[in-house]
This record gives sequence, C-alpha cells and structure tokens, in this order.
Amino acid sequence: MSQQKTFRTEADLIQAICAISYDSKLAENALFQRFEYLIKIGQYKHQLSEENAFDAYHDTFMVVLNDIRKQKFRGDSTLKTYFSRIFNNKCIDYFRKSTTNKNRVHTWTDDLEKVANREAGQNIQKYLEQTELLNDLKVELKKLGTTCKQIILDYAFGYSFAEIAVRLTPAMKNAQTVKSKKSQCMKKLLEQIH
Amino acid sequence: MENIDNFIADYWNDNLSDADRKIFEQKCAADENFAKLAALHLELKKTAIEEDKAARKVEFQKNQMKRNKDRRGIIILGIILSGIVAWLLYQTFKIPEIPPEPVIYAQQYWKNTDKSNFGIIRGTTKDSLILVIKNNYENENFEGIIETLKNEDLNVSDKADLLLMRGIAYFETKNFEASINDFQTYLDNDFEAVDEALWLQSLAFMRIDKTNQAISNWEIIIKEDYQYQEEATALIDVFK
Repeated sequence: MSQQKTFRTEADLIQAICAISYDSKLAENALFQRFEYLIKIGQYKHQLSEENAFDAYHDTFMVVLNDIRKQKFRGDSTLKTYFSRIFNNKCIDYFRKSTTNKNRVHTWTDDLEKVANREAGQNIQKYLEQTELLNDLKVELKKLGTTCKQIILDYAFGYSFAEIAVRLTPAMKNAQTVKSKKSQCMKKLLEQIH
Repeated sequence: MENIDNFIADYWNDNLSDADRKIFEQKCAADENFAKLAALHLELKKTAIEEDKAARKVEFQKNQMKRNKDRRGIIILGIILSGIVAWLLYQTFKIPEIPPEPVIYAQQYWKNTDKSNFGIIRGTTKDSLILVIKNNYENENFEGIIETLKNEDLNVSDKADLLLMRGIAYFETKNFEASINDFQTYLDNDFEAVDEALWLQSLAFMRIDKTNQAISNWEIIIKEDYQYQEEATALIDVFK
C-alpha cells in the first residue's frame, strides 16, 4: 500500500486506473490520497468522528473507483467535484446513522437490499447470519496463504483475472494462470469451510 | 464450478443483465447450496473491502502522523526564524540607550533648590549694596548682580553671602566656569554655608559635563552629613 507514484493530471490518473498494469494499483493509491483532506472537512462540516469520516471517505473511494473502472465517470465534472459530491452525501448518511442510532450492524445490508427476490434474499441472509461461517472464512483465508488469499479477495473485489495477474507480487504470467489458480484456491477454501 | 463462481461474483459486482440477475435470484430462492455460495461470495467481497479499508487506514494514519510532524517542524522553524528576524530588527532599529544627561539633571535640581534661605535674601538690611543685590535677585536681574559686584572684593567673611550670590548669578547667566570659581573661593575660605556652596558648585560642574568633580562634591555632602545628601545620593546612583 505504501508504494506511491505521482500523477500530474486527473486524466493521467484515470487512464492509469483503467490500464491493466501495475501502475493501476499505484494510481488507486494516488486517487485515495488525492482527496484525503476531505476527511477533516467531513469531521468539521458534518460533525462526524474521525472513524466515521474515514469510513465515509473509503465508501466514496470505492464508488468513485468502481465508476472509473466501469467508465461510468465520463469527466462531465472534475474528479474533485465528483468525489466531493459523493463524499458529501456519504457524510450525510453517516451523520443520520449516528444521530438516529442506526449504526450499521451488518456490512452486507446495502447489498442485500438490491436482491429483488424476497426468498432469495432470505436464503442468503440466513447464511450471512451464521457468524461461525464468517469467522471461519477469515481464518481459512489466512490458511490458504498470501497469494491465494489475494487472488480470491481481488476477484471478489471485482478485478478481472488479467488485472489480478499484474497486481500480484510477483506478477503472474497471464490471466489464464490466475484463473486456474483461483479455481484451485476457491476449491480449497470451500473444502476447508465445509 | 468456475462458471458458477463467476456468475455469483458478477451478480455482486453489478455486472449482470437484468435477465441474468433474475435467474441468479431464482436459483438462490430454490437452491440453498447456491444461496450459501452466494452468501460466501458476498462475504468475500465485504472482507476484501474491509481489508482494503484497514490497510488504507494504517497508511492514512501514518501519513497523518508524518504531516503533523512536518507541521510541528514548520511551526518550530517558524518560531525560530521569527525570533531571529525579531532580534535582527531589534538590533537594526533599536533606540540606543541614552546615557543620563547631566545638563538636564543639573537644570532640574537647580530649579528645585530653594535659594531663598540665603541670608541676604531672607534677612533685612539697610546696607545699600545688599539692597541693590537683593532687588536685582528678586527681579531676576542676574547681569545686574554681576555688574554690581564686579569690582568688589568678596574674599572676606562678611561678604561671603554676596560671593555665593555672584556664583548663583554667574550660573543663571550660564557662565558656569566663573560660577564654579566663586563657589570654590567660598569653599577655600571655609565660609559658613559650605553645604550650599558644595551643592551649587556640583550643579555647575554638571552643566559643563564635569560629572566626576560633581560626584566628589556629592561624596563630601554625604560623608559630612550635610543638607542635600538625599539629592546627592540619588545623583550618585545615576551618574556613578
């Protein structure tokens, strides 16, 4: 995470994020650090704790990163304006949650709300509420080793196999190698969990 | 298995079409094992995000500490530089310490010295010379006093007061050397009002910047317990 590279313009940064190269990882770090000052603004303007302001900032980063990667951010406004606007809304959400005492119990609540089929949602939730499963998951992921863990998590994060190949240290030969490795790792994980 | 994994991952990452989303959800509703796998994938996604957040938080805190340290360094440097600049400005533009000005002190003490105690001024007389001097003194005609006593021999005890008066007149007309001489003659003859003569002479010395000689007079005043010893002590504190 500490590796850094400076990107002179927003266009350079966006281009690097979308590229399939090791630079995309550095560009993500640069994007995260570019607007870090907003965390303080979130604390003062929205009266959030540093932790909540940081969470709001990270949520914003995830949204913006995803939008850049999926080319949903088309540059109609500057990245700074785009980031600030989303961050502002996230801060308002966190402020409401803190004042109404509706703190997030499960980190997956937002995703479950997207499941339109009620029965499907209930089935998924049933397993998510099995805390042993979740605790086991973290332990078992660790047991798999660094490479396997990173491949599985990067994949779950939404990176393509080609992207994961260049993000790994040391990098893997190609997407196909990552794909095979991911199958093996996933199989191993499922065996360990069940 | 690989395809199922991809299908589930694509669902949680919003990469499926509406039709495929529907198929996914129907499968979750009908197949508990599939739902379990979907839950596992969602949890993996959340774990990935949480791990990313934790790593970035560590980095953020590290950077923040570095920034605070840098800021502290800048503040300390700023304070040191301000101090140096202030010192330089002070050295450049400071008002030089003005040594006490004997003339000013002499003027002030001369003004405050009550000379009305002298015999010829206080007393009554029918002596025409004394009456002229007294009249001139009261009219502040010091030139007149000097002129009147110009050819008089004042080196005798019955004219000691006139000698003192001429010393005062010289002082008032800014002839300090002559004033000092008259007071000195008075002292040499050991006439009665030695304390007055010592004190008035010390003030005349100050007017011509002979502070050391004035100090000698003050030391005698203090040592002999004469009047004006309070003033003499104060002046020694300033000038010695």
